[in-house]
Amino acid sequence: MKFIAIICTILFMLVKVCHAGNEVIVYTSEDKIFSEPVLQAFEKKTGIKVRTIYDTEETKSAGLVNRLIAEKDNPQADVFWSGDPVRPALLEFKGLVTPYVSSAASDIPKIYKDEDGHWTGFSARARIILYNSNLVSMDERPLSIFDLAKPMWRGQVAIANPLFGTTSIHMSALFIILGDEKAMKFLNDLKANGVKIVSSNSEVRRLVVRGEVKVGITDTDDASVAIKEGSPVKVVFPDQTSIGTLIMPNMVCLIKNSPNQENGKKLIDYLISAEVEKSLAWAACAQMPLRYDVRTPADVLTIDAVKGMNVNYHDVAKKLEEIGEFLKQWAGY
Amino acid sequence: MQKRLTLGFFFILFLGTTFLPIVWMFGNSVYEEGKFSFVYYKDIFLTQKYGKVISNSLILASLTTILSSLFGVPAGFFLSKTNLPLKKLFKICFFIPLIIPSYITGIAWVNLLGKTGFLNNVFSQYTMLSSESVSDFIYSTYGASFILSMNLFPVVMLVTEYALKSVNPRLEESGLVVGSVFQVFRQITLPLIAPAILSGMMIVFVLSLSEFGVPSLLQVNVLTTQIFTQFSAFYNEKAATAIAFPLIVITFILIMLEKIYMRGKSFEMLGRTSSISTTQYNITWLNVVGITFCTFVLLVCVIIPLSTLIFNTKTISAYHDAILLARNGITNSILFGSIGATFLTLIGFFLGYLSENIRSKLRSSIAAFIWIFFAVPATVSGIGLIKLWNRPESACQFIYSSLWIVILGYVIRFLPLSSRIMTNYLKQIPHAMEDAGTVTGASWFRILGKILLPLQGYGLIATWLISFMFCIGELGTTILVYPPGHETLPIALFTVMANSPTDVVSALSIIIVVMTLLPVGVFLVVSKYLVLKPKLGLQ
Repeated sequence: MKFIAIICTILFMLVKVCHAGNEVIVYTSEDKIFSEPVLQAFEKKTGIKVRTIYDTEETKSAGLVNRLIAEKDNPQADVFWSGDPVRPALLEFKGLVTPYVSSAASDIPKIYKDEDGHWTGFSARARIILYNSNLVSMDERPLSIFDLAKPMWRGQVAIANPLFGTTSIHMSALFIILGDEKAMKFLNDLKANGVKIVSSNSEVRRLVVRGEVKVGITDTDDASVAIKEGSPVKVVFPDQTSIGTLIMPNMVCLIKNSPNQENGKKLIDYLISAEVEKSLAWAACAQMPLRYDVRTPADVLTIDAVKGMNVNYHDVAKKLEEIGEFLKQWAGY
Repeated sequence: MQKRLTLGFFFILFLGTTFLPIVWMFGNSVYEEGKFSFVYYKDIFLTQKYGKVISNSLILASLTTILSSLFGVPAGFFLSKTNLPLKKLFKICFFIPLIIPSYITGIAWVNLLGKTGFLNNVFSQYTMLSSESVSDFIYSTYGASFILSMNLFPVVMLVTEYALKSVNPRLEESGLVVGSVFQVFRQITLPLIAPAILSGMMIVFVLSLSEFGVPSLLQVNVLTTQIFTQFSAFYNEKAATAIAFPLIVITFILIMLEKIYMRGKSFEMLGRTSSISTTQYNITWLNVVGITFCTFVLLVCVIIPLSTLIFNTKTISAYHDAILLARNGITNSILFGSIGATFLTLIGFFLGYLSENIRSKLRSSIAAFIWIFFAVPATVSGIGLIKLWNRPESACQFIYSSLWIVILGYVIRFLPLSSRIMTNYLKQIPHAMEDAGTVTGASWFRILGKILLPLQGYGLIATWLISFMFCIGELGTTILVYPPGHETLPIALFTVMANSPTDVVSALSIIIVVMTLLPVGVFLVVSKYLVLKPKLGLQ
């Protein structure tokens, strides 16, 4: 009996006492190596304790959005910092988000934020074509994603599973820009051309880096990391003379009925500031600031240098729900 | 009275921790817009839509089970029955595959056998195989079972090894007087340990059935990837839970098959009270075969995946960075893992006792009932835990925002496993031992402390070790429920994996292996003394 009592006492001592003091809880799907320094800087600056749950890459675990939805009746998170521009809109549809129009967002272009303040965008990635420069010369490189359905690239293209992550957003945006019929035809052509569907964007990067395929469709941050590691790969911003490249800002939203609303708002103000946009541009993820006047390194394009696809992220999120079944079949799932 | 209360308490503990959250999820999945509806189940059972997926899952699990037994049974035999040189080293090294996350082993093999991989080049140059066919092999159900079996064979190995240790040496010795080693093994030893091996195979089968990491990496279309799609692409937890149902049905059928096989078989073979040693064969050719086999397994299952990791970490600074990233995770993992394993062993012991030693018609149904929960996918359990424990009441909040929710996650995932392993060991104790205690008028607690627990020394240790390793590797449920600041090593690994330099990720994987092996090694050494003492006292 004594033994059991001692064990119980020890076990209870192990519980970290979580005092609900001056803190903010943030769930983020932005990669940990990029988001952690930003959150630490906020902590230092304001003295507000930041407690964070990070996400794995989209296809490696069911992840944060499922957790947020499951916690709906008793929210734990104050802020959701999404690495992509569509999940916050999905959360808005499910009634998890409360509007907050931040004064810090005034100089962020209108298309990257929700009018009612459900979500606000900052620092963006883009959907690009990554090619292996040992296998593909400058002249051969594909300038449009539609080139990838041509016989020249038969069996040489990799793309991540279109049901998940930024790939799903890309598909949804294509359906909006092209119309359902054309988009389906393009995807079917791509499939007939032997496109390799892999588990994630980092898998696409791995295959291109190793030369198992010549080209792949992935995100700028994956490309930037591969280039910084010295891999023989180069980037094309596709369709600059036609539909444009898909721009995908980070987005942040305030969770309804969360425990620390005021601190949540402060964190949002900070995240969408020019300061954070600058630091994310200079980090290895090389994200493009949405403000024109933020200084970037030479190899990071500013937003005005790229022709972006003209889509509304709200519509993209809606469309995604519609085309899910088609994408599932297309991917052979 | 003591017995009833204790067993009742632990059964209720099982219902509260494991049964409730999962049943909640399934209950929810047949309840749509205020009324009962089997809309998500119709698709699965009344259409052809999921036929292919289910058969893929079955192929994957069966192949994995067969392959891991081919590795595991001989390995277990050689490690316990022969005098191999470096036996201790082999023993510890064979834990490594269980510890390396299957996803990492997967990447290592895909790199080796992919179109531009080293082994692929070797195969396509020196054999008839084309580069394409090797690459196609690895990206298939067969490739997935190959990788998984290398990760899971230690389960079969451990079960075999400990079962062999419990065989009454006198039986084998008598056999050896009149027959050869081979005959004795086939006709005496193997039938005695067959139930234990089958049980190990069952564990591997269900584990590979509910495995997600490798099939997802290789894009193999199985039930778990379908469940994942419903969760993460459609955010439809009801449909996801419904697709998990076939997993439970398959497991249930398996239990029935096992029951038919086991009918009328006796397992009372405990000989540890009459002799402390295990019969060991000291035959040269057997040793040579043993060392060749173990080296081969070591090469394929341990050295190849491990060396690709080491090869990837070219610099010391990678380890430095990795340690900085994992600092918090290391202490958390060891702490949570030990607490989790201790609970699992403790509750597992009593549940095992409940499903083996009580004299009631119910007992085998209890075992089956507990076991089917092992097939529930991690995500379903995780969401169930959130729904059950994330409530405003302060008692719930205390659990939900502390390490206890992580421990609950471990319990919900692995209690069926730990209780099953315990059941197997308990099977080997004759009821007469307990009866003898009862006759002397000792209380049940005293019988428990003086007879049952000491006799189960090996069983308790094996259960603790296996539970510990599974806890430390748990990702699917933990990531859904862990409170901020409570991340474990796999979470540290998988959250930095996205876009971190390859060398840091590899270094982190190696740190996980070392961190898990350390306690296991210490435990293996200490366990000797723990087991021997009470045993001597009993004689």
